[in-house]
Amino acid sequence: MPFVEIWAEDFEWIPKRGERPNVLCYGARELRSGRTLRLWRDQLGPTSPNRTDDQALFLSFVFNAEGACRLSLGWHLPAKVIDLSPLFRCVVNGRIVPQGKGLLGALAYYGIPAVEAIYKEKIRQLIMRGGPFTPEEKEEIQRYMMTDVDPLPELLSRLMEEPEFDLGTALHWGEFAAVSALMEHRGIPLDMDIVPDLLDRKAWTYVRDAIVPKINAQYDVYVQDKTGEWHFNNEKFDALCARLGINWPRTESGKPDLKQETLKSMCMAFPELESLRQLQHVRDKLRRINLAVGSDGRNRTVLWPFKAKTSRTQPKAAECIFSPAVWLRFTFKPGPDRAVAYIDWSGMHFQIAGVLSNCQPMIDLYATGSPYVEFAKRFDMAPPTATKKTHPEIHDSYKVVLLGAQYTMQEGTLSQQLGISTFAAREMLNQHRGLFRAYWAWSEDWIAHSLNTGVMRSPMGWTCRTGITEFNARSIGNWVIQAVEGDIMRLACVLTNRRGVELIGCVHDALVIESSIEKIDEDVTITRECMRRAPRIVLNSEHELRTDATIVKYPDRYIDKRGVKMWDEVIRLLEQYHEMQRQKEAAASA
Amino acid sequence: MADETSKPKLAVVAEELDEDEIEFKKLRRDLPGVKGASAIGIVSINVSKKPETNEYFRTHPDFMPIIPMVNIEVGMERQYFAVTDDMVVALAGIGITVSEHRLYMIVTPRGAVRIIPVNVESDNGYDRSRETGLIDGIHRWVRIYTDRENKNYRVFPAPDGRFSDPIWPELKPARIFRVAFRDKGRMVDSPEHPLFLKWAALDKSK
Repeated sequence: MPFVEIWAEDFEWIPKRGERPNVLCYGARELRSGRTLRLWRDQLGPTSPNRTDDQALFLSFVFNAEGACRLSLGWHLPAKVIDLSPLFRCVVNGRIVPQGKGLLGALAYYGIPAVEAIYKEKIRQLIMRGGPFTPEEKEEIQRYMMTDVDPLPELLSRLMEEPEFDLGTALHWGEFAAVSALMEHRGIPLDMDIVPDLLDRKAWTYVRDAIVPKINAQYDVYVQDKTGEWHFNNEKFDALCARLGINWPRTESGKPDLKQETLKSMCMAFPELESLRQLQHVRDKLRRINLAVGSDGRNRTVLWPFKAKTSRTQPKAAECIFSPAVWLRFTFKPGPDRAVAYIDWSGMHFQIAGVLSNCQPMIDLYATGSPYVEFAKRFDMAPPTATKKTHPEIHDSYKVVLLGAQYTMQEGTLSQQLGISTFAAREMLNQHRGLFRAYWAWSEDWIAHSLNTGVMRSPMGWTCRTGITEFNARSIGNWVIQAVEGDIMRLACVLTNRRGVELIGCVHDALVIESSIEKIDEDVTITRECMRRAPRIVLNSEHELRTDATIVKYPDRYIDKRGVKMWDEVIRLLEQYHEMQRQKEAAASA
Repeated sequence: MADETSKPKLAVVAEELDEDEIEFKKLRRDLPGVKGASAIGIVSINVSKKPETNEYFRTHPDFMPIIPMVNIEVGMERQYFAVTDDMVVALAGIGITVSEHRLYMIVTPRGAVRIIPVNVESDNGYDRSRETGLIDGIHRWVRIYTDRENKNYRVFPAPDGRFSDPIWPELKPARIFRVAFRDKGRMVDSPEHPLFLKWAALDKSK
């Protein structure tokens, strides 16, 4: 390894939702000299006790946690990092790992001695209890911490024996883990005039209960029982579908299928149901708003890079502002003199499929700037002059067709989602298969090759086994597109960070940045350029991905058109709640 | 008027990679070549009298062997059996006539592959117009439609831009022939072939 020093390190800290880590102690061992650091909180200075330039390599397991600890202490992030967690995940992806993908699971996988899970849990409980700690407890915690440091060199050497290992790739993934730590450290600014109310259980319960009759007036699908509680009624929902002419998907028992995914896809075809979907989400999933909010008014949660089998970042949805409840995103608001930007790739899934399969019709349609409407024109389903603006309904319908077809959606599902006959849905899917034959032939070849060889690999080295837990053709066909998207996302984050832009989040196909109002336009330009370059490298192609940017400057807030009605209603009810509280207080004082 | 020769010449040049991009490009590896992987699993190709009515198709430009064939009606279906040259006389001995057929391979927009044999000796209007349509399909997407009044097929081209170029299975001609006929027992290549024995028995019973 071309480094003067190689450090294995670990922190112990007290986690608190939404807050930066409260560091208790730091442990590290330098592999060449054997120099060991075992420092309690009061011994930790304002700078890192070990060199962090590019001559020193740092090993850890889940570095975004270690990085977040370093940042909370005001230390620099190391220039060179190897995070053993994604390396291990990459080796066992698609395999059965009886003891899990955590550090203990990795050590067990390679037969490296480790502490007992019971002991680990005991110390975790001790840390969670919080201080003050006795000298014996401090000693115990630090001894435990070193049991997470000591096996790292052996684990690295075992991982280096794996055929997938490549030092450059390992360092790239380590750098992304460091950028993830930065994003977690910074957090996403929220409107703290409103968020505390949403987090307040009484205020939220009032809103949640009161919102049903308001939204329900539009749909008439809820009924109230004797105690005043509102319940969703399937018969009334059937009547609503009949009124709107919607053939709603059903479960095996014949009831309407109201799963989150079904509702989401049906709302793409029938946007008039969007408020009902959000109401359902509020009723079923948001009994309590669990956004992780720090005392500095920022949404901060562990991002879990590499967690998905496609290597994509997967934070806990309930804790993250970019969750399915789109109206909650209205609380995303920059502070005074600050601005934020949400920059996403447009038609990413479609263009990546086109480039990977070298399907010229897909690439040509993407180049028009509105592939969905242009596809419809090819089959005389839209006038030659149609655009996304003049014919939004065609754009929306064909977006469902093109994306659904790529996920091998069947004609029955498509007909239900678009409210069209099965015959018409079948014809649309056949149109996709006919025009994009090169993509389908490549996809069939990819699935066959993956199952024949037992392994899939992305251009930047992420791998997954097939034939052990991965058999599903749809999943295998989709894996490569998602894994490439993961490669592109990581690279775009690293490039953007290297250029000094303040990244605060990455969401599926978007980067979120923050800056001063004066500098935001410049930072958006830099970020978009990085987002243009990243796919060029990963795909090794001149075919680029376009980006769209939404810039929000103080005092404005982020707006998602799908959540406007719901947001307005929530704000109105919160005001009503406060007015009621004021009247109660006035009555009490009188 | 400006001097034309003094104007800078504009040319499209490839965008150069910066230092970071070069660093990451070194990590990148091409995805494995998967072309033809799914063709390994092909164990059968259907042989039928004609393309599906009104289904667009393209015809393979190179695969067009001429072989002797027996075609007989089994129930409602017409079945085709390839015959090796040395079996032509033996088949004639049991009253089975053989005629030369040209095999055309077609593919539909969704990737269905079929072999369409056309009797090259026949003057039948259906056979000749079917072949016209199949030859037309070498260059563009077409469909055929039965014209019963005139006892032939009409041929219609697909609208421009509706389908992309055809994708052919990665199979060599010998393998195509094998999976279309021999592996399915539809190639009469010896007097011990079950079909020959069956036809011979039928001939004896007449």
